Amino acid sequence: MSQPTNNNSGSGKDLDDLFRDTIGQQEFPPSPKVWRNLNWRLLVRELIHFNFINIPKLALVSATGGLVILASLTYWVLQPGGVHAISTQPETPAASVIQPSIQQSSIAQPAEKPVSVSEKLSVRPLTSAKPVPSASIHPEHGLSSRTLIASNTVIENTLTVSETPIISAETREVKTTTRDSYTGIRPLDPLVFSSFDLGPATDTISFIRSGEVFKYVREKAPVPSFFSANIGIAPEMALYRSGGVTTQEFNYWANAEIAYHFSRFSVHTGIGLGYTYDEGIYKIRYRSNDSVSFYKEVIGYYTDPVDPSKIIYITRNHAIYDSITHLADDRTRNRYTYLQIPLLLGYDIFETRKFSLSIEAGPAFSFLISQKKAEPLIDIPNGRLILLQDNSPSQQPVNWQLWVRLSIGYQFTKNWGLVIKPYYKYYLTSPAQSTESRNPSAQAIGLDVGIQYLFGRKSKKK
Amino acid sequence: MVIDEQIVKDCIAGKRQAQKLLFDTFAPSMLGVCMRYCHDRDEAEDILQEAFIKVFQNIHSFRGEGSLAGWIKRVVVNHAINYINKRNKIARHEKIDEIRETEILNINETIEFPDEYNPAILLKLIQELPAGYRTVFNLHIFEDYGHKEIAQILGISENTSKTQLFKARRWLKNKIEEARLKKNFNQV
Repeated sequence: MSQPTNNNSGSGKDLDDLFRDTIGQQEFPPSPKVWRNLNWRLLVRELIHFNFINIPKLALVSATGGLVILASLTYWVLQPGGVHAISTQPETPAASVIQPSIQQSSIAQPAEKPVSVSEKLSVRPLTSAKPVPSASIHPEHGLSSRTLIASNTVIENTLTVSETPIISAETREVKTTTRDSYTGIRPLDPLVFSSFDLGPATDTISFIRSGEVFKYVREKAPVPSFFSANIGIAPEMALYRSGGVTTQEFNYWANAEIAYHFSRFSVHTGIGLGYTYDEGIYKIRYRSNDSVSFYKEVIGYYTDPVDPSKIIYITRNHAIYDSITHLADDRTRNRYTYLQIPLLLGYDIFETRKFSLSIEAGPAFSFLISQKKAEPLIDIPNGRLILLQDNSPSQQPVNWQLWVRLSIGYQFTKNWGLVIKPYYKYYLTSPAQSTESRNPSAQAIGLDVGIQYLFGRKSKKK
Repeated sequence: MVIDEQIVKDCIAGKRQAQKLLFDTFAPSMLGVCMRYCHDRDEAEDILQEAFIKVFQNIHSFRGEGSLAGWIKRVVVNHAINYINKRNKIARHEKIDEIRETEILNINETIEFPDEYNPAILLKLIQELPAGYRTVFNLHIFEDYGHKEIAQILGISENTSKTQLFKARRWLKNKIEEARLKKNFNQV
């Protein structure tokens, strides 16, 4: 810092001028840490107020391209024939899975090449109090009939397990076909029909054709009940409508949710932290000094040397100012931090091994936890402020919403996946209360993108 | 350095390079302003940093009607006042003495100053002023605010503002007189 010595002659200088002239224009180069700290704080602020506007276009394009490439690679790698297929379990032929608990010889090995199915096939013997002789199988039918076996099939064996195989390979023939819409059809003997287990665990249809009793048995897939958790970020566009005028603001949420899945339903709850924005409205009255005219001040005169009878005046112009009152308004952008807690019920529309689609709906409520109001900056040249009135709408401490959303999932692995949730919110209670106009009705649409983890998911998806 | 419209636009867009350029251009003079409102340089740099956050945060509201330097100075001064207000609760807690108007009017005419003086010493004198005196003195002398405006800004009465200014001048005059008596004004 330079400290020049001022050598002004100051005998007539008053105190105010002394200070004004000496240190009024002093400059001090700030230390480097000021910019370092400032730079860091600006960076943090940008991250907190992240939006897609302040990202360079090149970075956006690069990130999008990178995501597409990553998604393509992931999809390719995770294919069954991919280089690094995660699933190492081989597809199991049906015939090799058919391992009846009664002796294998009771079912003939298929003559045709067995169809490949991935699900478990089983042949369950049932025991009966009354031993049924093997002759109870009708000789005219059944033994020569074709039996269709495919996935999720349980062949309910009505025969009593005896010491010796009840149905010999010579008398029963099971052939597999490539049809898998029917999961199991086999002829039944009317005598043993009564001993069938018709409990709720299986999907059982019995029907009679030409005196033959058929039973269609489909084993239900195990009901998948499991927990899942996901975290995501959600840019959201909120639409406020008041007095026929619609305004929009962009909000940002970070959400963490857990869900319990049972059957095709799920219950979701969690917590979300988000920034919402609204306009700050200020009325400003100020008085400015505007030049309206001028007058000439005579500062000297002299006699015209050519015509001594004339006097020539030397004048100086002075502006005349008038104070004028102005009314103006100023808009700022206020930021509000909310905590939201949803409680949603979901229904799986469809689900495959990798993809899932479900619809979720329910109520949610939000708490206002902090607010940050931007101060209006008023630049009034040649004037002064008379009134500054804050007419910003006040935010409600709690508001309720109804949510509807789609949840689109893609599983990278058995447990980890990407989840995208386009959603719609309808505010049951207005988030803001205006002092000037009717309280606005509010709606919002957004896109929650995140990752999810499925806990203890045992059932394998088809 | 001339700050053109493009740099302001770049600052609005959040471009760091433009923000750095703006900071490098105006920070030295604004630190000079901050130094007058605080006790020491560290405090002044803290205020400067916070004030520039506000500048970058609100630069979109600069309409280009006045000079950018003037606008930034206004932000810095406002922030400095807010900072001191929060910290010291100035003026409101200080006892206000009744002072005759003539005394207030005459104080500025009863002093003569040496031909040579050191700016660093004058700055140090200002920094040693009690916070209330210092703020009013700064606003009146350096920012050209009238007592009515100072009263509005600080939330005090006009009379309090006049009193504070009077006391500030008397305090400074006494300090300078003491130094002159010691004949070593430049080494105060």
